[in-house]
Amino acid sequence: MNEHVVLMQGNEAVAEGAIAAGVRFYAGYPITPSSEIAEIMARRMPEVGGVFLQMEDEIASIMAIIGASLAGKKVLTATSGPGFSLMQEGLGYACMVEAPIVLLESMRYGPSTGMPTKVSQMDLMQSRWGTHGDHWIIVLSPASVEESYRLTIRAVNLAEKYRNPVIVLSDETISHLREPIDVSVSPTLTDRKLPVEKSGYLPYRTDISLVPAIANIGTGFHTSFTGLVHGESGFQTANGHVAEALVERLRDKLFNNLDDIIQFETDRVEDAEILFVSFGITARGVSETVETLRSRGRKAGALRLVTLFPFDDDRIRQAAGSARTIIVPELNSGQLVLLIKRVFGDSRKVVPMNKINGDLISPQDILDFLQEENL
Amino acid sequence: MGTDKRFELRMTGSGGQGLILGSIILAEAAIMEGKIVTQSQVYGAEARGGTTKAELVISSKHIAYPKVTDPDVLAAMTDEGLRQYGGGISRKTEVIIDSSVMTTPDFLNEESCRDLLALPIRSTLVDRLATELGLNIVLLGVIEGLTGVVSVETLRKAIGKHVKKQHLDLNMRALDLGMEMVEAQAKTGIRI
Repeated sequence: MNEHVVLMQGNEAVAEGAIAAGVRFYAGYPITPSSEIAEIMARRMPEVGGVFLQMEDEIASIMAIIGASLAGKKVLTATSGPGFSLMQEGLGYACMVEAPIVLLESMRYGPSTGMPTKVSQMDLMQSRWGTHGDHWIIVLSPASVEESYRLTIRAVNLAEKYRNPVIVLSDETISHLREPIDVSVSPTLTDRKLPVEKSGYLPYRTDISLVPAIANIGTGFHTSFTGLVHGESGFQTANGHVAEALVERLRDKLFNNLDDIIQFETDRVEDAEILFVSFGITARGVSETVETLRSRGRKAGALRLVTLFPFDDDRIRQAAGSARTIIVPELNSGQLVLLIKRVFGDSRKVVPMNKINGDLISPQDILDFLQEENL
Repeated sequence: MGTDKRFELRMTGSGGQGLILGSIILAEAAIMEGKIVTQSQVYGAEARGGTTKAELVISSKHIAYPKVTDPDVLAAMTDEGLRQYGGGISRKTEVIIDSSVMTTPDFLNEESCRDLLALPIRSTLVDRLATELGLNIVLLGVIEGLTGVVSVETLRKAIGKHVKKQHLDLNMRALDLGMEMVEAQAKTGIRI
């Protein structure tokens, strides 16, 4: 027995992952199925010299972590669909001021308050397009308790590296699932780039990385943060050229680094005739189904998206092999399938498989679906 | 438990009986023996008094789909629990019910499950240990006596991690009581 292996709940893994990644500020408003994260952070933050703030709502929660982030802290908040809707305003602001923040969203059944204790994957598109305006965001999708821990650490590192909001898009099942994980390995941590020279300092001036070295508030540099379009000085402008350059840079600082950001997992894609593309908890039912189909002599394979956004059509096309039939199971009425159809057009048969009754897609569900659809 | 075997357990009853904690204790015991586990529960507003369900999968290899799909053991501690979560059993399933508070439902027969073990769990606990606390541990004793899914020593260690020192002795006796009930049942050969 490995004494470092412990039984942990998904939400606990997120909290402990964040702490391991250096998060020392948490502000939030508890909501099922993410509430345990707030509960654990309320206890753990003081233990590690951090700050826990119970806020009056989700708008205040995301604003609090943006403020703490701009003051130099690594930060986390956690919520679910209804709270995530309230956080969209702050999310856009964080994109614009380039605040490194991490937001855990545990998807429950919607719309509105829906079914708080039932699982869904209905907020996929909200995670990408929930806030207004052209903006770019990193969204990571764990499929296990262990990966909840690992991807939360990765989310903090990516947020710091690219000065961008990162969303960990989990779900009710993973949040409440308990699995063994080994937390003894010390993670590699990334810290944001900071300015050195005070003279001539412009907060939003960038080098080839396109990521600005913005001073933390309170370190002796002049700071200016605004959601309005701003130039290198950080002050508002309505200059169209500056605006265009800013929005392009916000895109390119991520899109120039897709190799670093995008991760996915493949299972026997090479010779697959039927391919499943999925993410999060749904991928676990898929994984077992591929095993079953292979044991019956069917050439099945799977592609699991670990990074959901940025979404790169070319990488997906290359990863998907040459399967003629691509099935996209998801716990919504068809969101990921829109992207997969965009990638393949009419070149493959892309089939949506949707379940919206608050239960998981089981291996048996998938086998039944194949039979019903003659696939 | 064989090397590649997957063991699936579902426990259902009333919130407050400690069934979720019971599933966590058994999960931790399995981890101590190097096994992989997934533990889950229905997550509802009714912390006490409502109907609850706890599920545990134990395997010697990676567990892909984390939920119980074909239980080896279904343990029901209330009629309502059995009614709500008693579906999805097969000829493979050993069903345990608490005959001191439950009536055997018609749908449990030789066709629908492998075996039915009706034990007066709650009343025996009250008679022998003069307490209602520890029902979950008696049930773990029953499951252990029936399946030997982990070693008794490991199970004792896992229980020790979750109960206060002053309650340790009571819990160990509760575990023994559960195992004794299975043994006694086996000797008489009576199956209801």
